[in-house]
Amino acid sequence: MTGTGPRRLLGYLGATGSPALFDRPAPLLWMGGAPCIVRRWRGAEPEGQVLAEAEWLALLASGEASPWPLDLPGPGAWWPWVVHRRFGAEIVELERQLGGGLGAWLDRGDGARVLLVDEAAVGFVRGAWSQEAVKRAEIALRRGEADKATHAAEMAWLMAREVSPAHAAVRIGAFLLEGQEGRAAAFRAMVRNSWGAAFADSVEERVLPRVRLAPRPVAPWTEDARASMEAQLHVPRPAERAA
Amino acid sequence: MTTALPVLRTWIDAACEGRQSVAAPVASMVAGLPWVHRSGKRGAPAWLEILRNGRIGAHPTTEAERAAGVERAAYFFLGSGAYPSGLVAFLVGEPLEALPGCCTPIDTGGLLAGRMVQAHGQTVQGPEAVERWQAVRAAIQHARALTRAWVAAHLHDPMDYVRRSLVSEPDVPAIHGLRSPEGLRLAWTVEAQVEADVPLAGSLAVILFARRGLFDSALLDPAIDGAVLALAVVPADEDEYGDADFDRFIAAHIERRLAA
Repeated sequence: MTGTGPRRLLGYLGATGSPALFDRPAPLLWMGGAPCIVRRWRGAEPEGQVLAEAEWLALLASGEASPWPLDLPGPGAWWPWVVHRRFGAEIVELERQLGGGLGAWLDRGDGARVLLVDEAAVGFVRGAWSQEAVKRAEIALRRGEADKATHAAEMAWLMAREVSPAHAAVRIGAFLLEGQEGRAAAFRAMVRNSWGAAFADSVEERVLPRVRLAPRPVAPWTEDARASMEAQLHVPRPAERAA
Repeated sequence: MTTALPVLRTWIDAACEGRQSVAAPVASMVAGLPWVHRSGKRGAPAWLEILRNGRIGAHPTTEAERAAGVERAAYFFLGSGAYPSGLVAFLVGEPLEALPGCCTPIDTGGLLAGRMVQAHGQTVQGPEAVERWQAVRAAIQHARALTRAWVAAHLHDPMDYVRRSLVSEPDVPAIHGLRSPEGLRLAWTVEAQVEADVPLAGSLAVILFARRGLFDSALLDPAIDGAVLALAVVPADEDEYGDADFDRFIAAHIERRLAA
């Protein structure tokens, strides 16, 4: 629906306690006497799906939505960005870049911060952050720095407006570097299910060499560690060389 | 019992026994439909809880449902995310039909709570709602036979059963004579009320998430089995399928599965 009149935010479709580093849940506005899930903004006009008030209350009761009653700060394409505390000190820089496009913020009880962002003005910041995070994840993967790689890869994946194979590749690489093969497999399957085989194959072309180049650090240097390293680097053992 | 109800009961019985004439495309389409459980229902387990427990729990029903004899239930719609809220959808297959339960070509909760109206707008409540519910109720094992006849009787193009939006009507007014005042399709979509917990193992085909952030919440939860998450699908394009379009995302996914 589209509509005019007073614009009041009721909340957003996101749960308290979610561990996702970044999320972009749809806002719920009170429009024309009913709650409305915003689908998109056309200029300063919201367009979306009207809910019965009982459905909105059911979403709140089931924990799938969170309340944030607030008059919208003014004209703009307002959208909540949920930034988890694991985002770290970089949130200060993010908020600086959002500048006047940051209309309001809420410190949620679980440590996450919800930013109300005018995406018409500063929505591009998200994509730029994501691209920068891909680069940082790639560097960390090459260096075998698992924590940094994981943090940057999550940021790259979740903040991307349009996901590319590079976004998925760094995420898979980070899981593998952390030794989380099960999570890597689930993520790979989700990518294939959602983006299709051609996209998934393109992801695999990017992820595999990178992970081979980033063996997990082993210390102290033992015969087992040497064998493991040689196997990963495909170094022929003396007997094989002689043969 | 109103005079129309025995006729309706006869129609439902004939449909369940496969005595209604159904064209081959309808039968083929219905055979491939998954059952859809959408989260976000008041009092029902949240989707994270479903994933952690490995089952969709049958939860205690409302007072009106208990009065009609339904003590606990997990609800599914066949081939549609007709329940209007919830951002995660669990698509399960035929093993569901071996569990104890029943099916109806209308939303049980809405009918028994007095939220359905007749053609002239009069609400159906109390004992009359229970009577009407019993007139359209069938064993869950007959769900696909009932759906074949239901689709053939109400839609010119069988795929419209999957494609129609949350707010939509069938081509022919529903044989049960009821509709939702808001025009919600749950008034004419086949629903299962399963009276037992539904294990994900062996029955789950797909989990649809409305957005990447929700999938990540599950992926980062150590209590959730990675093998289950390998069945996940998220929207590839957030502009095409946002949270408000989740029912369309579910429909598009089911249509693709049927075409494959």
